[in-house]
Amino acid sequence: MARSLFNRKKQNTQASQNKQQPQAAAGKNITKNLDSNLEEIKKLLGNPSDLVTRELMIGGLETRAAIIYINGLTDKDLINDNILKTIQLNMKQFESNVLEKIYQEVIAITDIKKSTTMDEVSSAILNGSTAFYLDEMDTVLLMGTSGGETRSIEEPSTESLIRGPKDGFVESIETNIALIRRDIRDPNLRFKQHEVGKRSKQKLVVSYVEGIVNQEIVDEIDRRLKTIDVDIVADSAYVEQWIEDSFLSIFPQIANTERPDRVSTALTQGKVAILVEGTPFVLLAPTALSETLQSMEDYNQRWVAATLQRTLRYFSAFIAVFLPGLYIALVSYHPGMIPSTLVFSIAASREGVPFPAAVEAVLMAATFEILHEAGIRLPKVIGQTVGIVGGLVIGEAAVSAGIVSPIMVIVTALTAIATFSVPSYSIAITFRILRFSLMIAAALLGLYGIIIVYIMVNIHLVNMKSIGVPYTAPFAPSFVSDWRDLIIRAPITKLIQRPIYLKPTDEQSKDTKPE
Amino acid sequence: MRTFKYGDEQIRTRDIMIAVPSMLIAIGIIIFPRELADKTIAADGWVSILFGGMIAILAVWLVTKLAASFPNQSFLSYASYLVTKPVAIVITFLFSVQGILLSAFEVRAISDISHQYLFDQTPIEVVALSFLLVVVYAVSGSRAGLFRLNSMFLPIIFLITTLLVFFSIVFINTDHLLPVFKTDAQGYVQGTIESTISFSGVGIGIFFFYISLVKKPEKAPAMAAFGMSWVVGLYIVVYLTCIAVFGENTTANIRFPLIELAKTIEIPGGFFERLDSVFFVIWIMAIFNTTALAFDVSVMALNSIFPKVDKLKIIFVLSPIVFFLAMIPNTYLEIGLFGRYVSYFGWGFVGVILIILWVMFKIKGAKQNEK
Amino acid sequence: MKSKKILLICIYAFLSVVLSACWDAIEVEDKGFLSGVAIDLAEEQGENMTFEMTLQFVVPGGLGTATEAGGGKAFRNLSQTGESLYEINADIARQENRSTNTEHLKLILISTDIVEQEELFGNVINVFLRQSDMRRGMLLGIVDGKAKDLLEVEPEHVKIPAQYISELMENPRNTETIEQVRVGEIQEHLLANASFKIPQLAFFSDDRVNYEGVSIFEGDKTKMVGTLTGGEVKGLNFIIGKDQLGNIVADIEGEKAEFVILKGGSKIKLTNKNKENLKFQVDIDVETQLSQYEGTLDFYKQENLEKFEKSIEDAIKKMSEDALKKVKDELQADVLTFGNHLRMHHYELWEEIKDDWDHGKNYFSKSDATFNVEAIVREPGNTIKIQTKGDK
Repeated sequence: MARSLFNRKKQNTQASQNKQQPQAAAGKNITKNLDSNLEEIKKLLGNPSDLVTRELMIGGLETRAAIIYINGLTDKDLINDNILKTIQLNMKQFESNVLEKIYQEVIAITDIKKSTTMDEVSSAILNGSTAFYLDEMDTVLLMGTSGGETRSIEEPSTESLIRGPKDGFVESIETNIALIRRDIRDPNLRFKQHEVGKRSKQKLVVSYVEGIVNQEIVDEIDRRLKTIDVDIVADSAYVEQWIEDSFLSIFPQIANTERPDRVSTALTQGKVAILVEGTPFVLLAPTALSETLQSMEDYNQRWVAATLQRTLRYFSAFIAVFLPGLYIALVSYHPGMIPSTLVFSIAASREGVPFPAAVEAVLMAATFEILHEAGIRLPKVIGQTVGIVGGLVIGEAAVSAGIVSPIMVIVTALTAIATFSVPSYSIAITFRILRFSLMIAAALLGLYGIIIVYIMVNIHLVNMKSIGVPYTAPFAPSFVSDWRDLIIRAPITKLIQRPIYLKPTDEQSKDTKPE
Repeated sequence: MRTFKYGDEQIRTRDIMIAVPSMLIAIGIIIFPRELADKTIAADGWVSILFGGMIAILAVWLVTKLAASFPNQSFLSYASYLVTKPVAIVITFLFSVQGILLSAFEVRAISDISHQYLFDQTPIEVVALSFLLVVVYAVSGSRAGLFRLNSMFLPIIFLITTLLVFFSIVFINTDHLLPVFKTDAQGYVQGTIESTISFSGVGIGIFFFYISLVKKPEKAPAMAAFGMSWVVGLYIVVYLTCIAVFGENTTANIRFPLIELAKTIEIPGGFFERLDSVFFVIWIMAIFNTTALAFDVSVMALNSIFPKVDKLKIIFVLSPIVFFLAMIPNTYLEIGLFGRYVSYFGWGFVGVILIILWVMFKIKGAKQNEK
Repeated sequence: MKSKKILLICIYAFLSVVLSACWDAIEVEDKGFLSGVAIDLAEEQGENMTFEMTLQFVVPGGLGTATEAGGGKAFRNLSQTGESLYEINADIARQENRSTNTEHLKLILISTDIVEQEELFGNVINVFLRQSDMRRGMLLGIVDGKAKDLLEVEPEHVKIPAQYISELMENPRNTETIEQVRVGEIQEHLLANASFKIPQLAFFSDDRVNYEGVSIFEGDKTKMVGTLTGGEVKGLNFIIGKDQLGNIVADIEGEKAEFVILKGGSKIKLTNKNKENLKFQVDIDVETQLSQYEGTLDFYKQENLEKFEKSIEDAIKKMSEDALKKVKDELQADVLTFGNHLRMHHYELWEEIKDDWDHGKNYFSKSDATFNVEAIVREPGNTIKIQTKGDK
């Protein structure tokens, strides 16, 4: 099925490559007439209100010139101080070859280049550059003056840690790249630039460490990125959904993070990071199921604590997925397995509840999902109200009204808490879906149904891949040496090998050889 | 689509090591203590298991060794070389039949036991069909995926068995283990035959086929034999526990001693008071592994005879056959008989093929390698 | 796409099968949990043997929860008579609104009237062993009198009589009781035609059940042949070397002393292999603690300590011999594990005589045993003396 998807994508790309851009001015060169040039560029951009055109006379020569930029995308101080002011102050000295001199001597901006095509000029302006036109010249100077309002680096709100770096990615891709560069000062660190979004023309950067990463993974990701055909990439999730291996699966096949430290660690392990302009979420590929239950915190705590935390997470993942299903199976099918005292008290508490356990469980689980959904997008203040309404009113009231049994409330609450203790939000959604299917299976066939679904999920998992890497690695195919960073997080000094399941070019991360 | 090559349809020797116990641990071990306790005195049966196990280890080693002598060649191709093509096709076809029979038996047995321990009213057809569909789903996936499934499930199976043995310690009566070595030679021989059938009746023949998927099969025979020794170890531990808890007489008179053992255990203060349902449900994974591998080998064998037919087509032709075969027996006696025939067939057939192929191998040598 | 179609077919097949499902789902509150069964002989006997079976169902609502006490009775007893247990069960099902669930059944009480008849016990137990959803850990009790009455006993602290009785049997802190007997173990004895023992209870008052002693069953005919009580049970336990918790009262120079047993064990040895006159030697080791002594002996002196120990040994020996006499001569059923010892350690001899062990030629009653008791007082308790009466 994944294969057919890919064929489709391929055809799409070919189709889109054949299409030419519709704009009239596209592909044109700069003329020697300033007025017509300005006219052209305004026409190309649709003469927007935020386009600033500043015409000026250059000193003794009496030559007309103009600078053009878009208000808000640019750093105005930079334009005033390092372009306008320097030109106006220095211009009187020049007699001939003005443009070259300005290019070489006057402009105090490092990022400057010449251009002769309208296309380049317009896209540079849209990227926040300032264009300098000189009359009677068919060359334009493009000066990197992008700036304007951006969010400053803050602690990521979705992945907060007790201990660890407090910086997070922002919407600016340059800042994000810089954040990674600050962590990895290896000259082999690569940032390969792509452009995505037919209309948005965003930058997308594929980052990896050459010499560690398996080149085939990079090539595969590149190939898939080239198939992307959308108007705008509002978030890296667009990219994720486009390049993942199986869009039918409920499991997330590419990880995302807001944390530079996580990206740097992943890069040094041989993974590939995909940064998209305009979003703080960076994609990490390939990923494995086991990694969804790991947190950066694991490496910042001492190994015993980290191991115990991971064990706890596996346990809570088990609860999050299985508990309501098990409850249904045990209560409706196998009461013999529950200790006698407990089964009598469950029976007592369920007496008077009009629904079978399955309906009761689905009802409560659905209520919880609705509450969860309602709370997510609300402002914090109202969010608390939702909590109170949900927790107190529905929980208490449902029990006293005799709609659900108290034990079901416990099961639901425990499941909810367990779901929240899963570190990755995307896998938590998967768990929620699985939970419902297990509940249905348990309602139909009891424990047998649960195990049948469990086996089916496993079959699905073992056939799944993330950018070609088996999703269940390193459990199966089993890479025993990777197990030291799986459920057990071995002491840092023992973590001498990079994950073998990624087949890195350079397996050793430390010089010491394993015994 | 060119993806990142992970050596997908190829498996490693470690996978073979895991596949051996995955294939062999199934229904057999649930019933086996009863049959052995019938023939031997007190706990003496472990000697028989050990001997039977050694025979089985040897058989597994011979199978894998022969297959490994023709690296990356399908069974059909090296068998054709050894015993001419028509004969090889017949043998391959028989292997496929054995796989179908075995899957049918496992499907039937699982529905039957679930009826004993999980359900009353649910029709066995439903249980069998849902199980079979899951098996079909697994077999339709990649073959490497099957081996990955093995390595995901096997640890759980060993874990639950260990737990079972651990919790039975309280119920062990050491009196049951005495006296030692009072069984007569005949009893040992019968017990050994019993355990050999239980070990290899399930179809070590599948490794004739799977070794061809191993990239570097030099180590495969040793790994397979090692994997087999786990099975022998597990059988011995389970048998001794059954005897120590029930005594030989009771063990010989319980229909499914291993599950009954799980039923005996009451975990004080545990969330589960009784383990039998949990145990059986987890054991379904072991049975699933066996059924999936057996089914897959039938498909693989047929596919090698008819290379042009799509794998999925073969699967969808075979699965109704398996289902109807599974539904044929009516009473528990017929199921037992079915099981007997399947394992006798498996045992005899693999034994004969093994001998023929090895004799031909010794005569002709592994010349085909040089081609 | 082909594979997609096939997938759809699979899903349809699966759904059509499964959507009509839920055959076995019965909600927990709709199940009648059986907590105890009592089986008596009916008072009016027909042509065939007629049983009276009483089923005790738990009424969960009556149990209450941790925070609020339940109101009303927590159990409900239903009795019926009939010629087979299945028949009775069917009759009861016609009166019970919930489907019977036996998975939490923990207690089976059988009246002595039944077990004193040949073979009946086996027939009754058979029902409980064949059902796969019943536990092998169900406890067995023999009731002197009407078994049904015991299920009516209402103690103040436990709401379900069956629970009270099974807890009573599980608590072996007394030398006059034996370890609880599970149904699963009985299967073993029945298969081996071996004699066995089951706790015997009796109705005491409306809120109490009394642990009477131990019923002894003869293996060949599987019927109860007699009861051991008091000292005889103690003696039995000393010989077997199990369940020796509890007290011993010994006589020291005319004064009573009571000892708590800390640890005990026994070892059986065969000293004479002549099958017509087998001789066993039983070595009994007991460690005790002085719990009550009002006499004047100073037990810090070695010779006095030896007197104490001697007195315990005599007491144990006496009890063991009484038990042996009763079991061997009167009841002629080997519950002393002598046969088991022969099976474990003298297998050839056992094979020869096992068919005539405690029946037929009855080699068991022709055998003899001597006792060798070794007792030590390990601890004297906290105080040395509480009264001064003139030291010796």
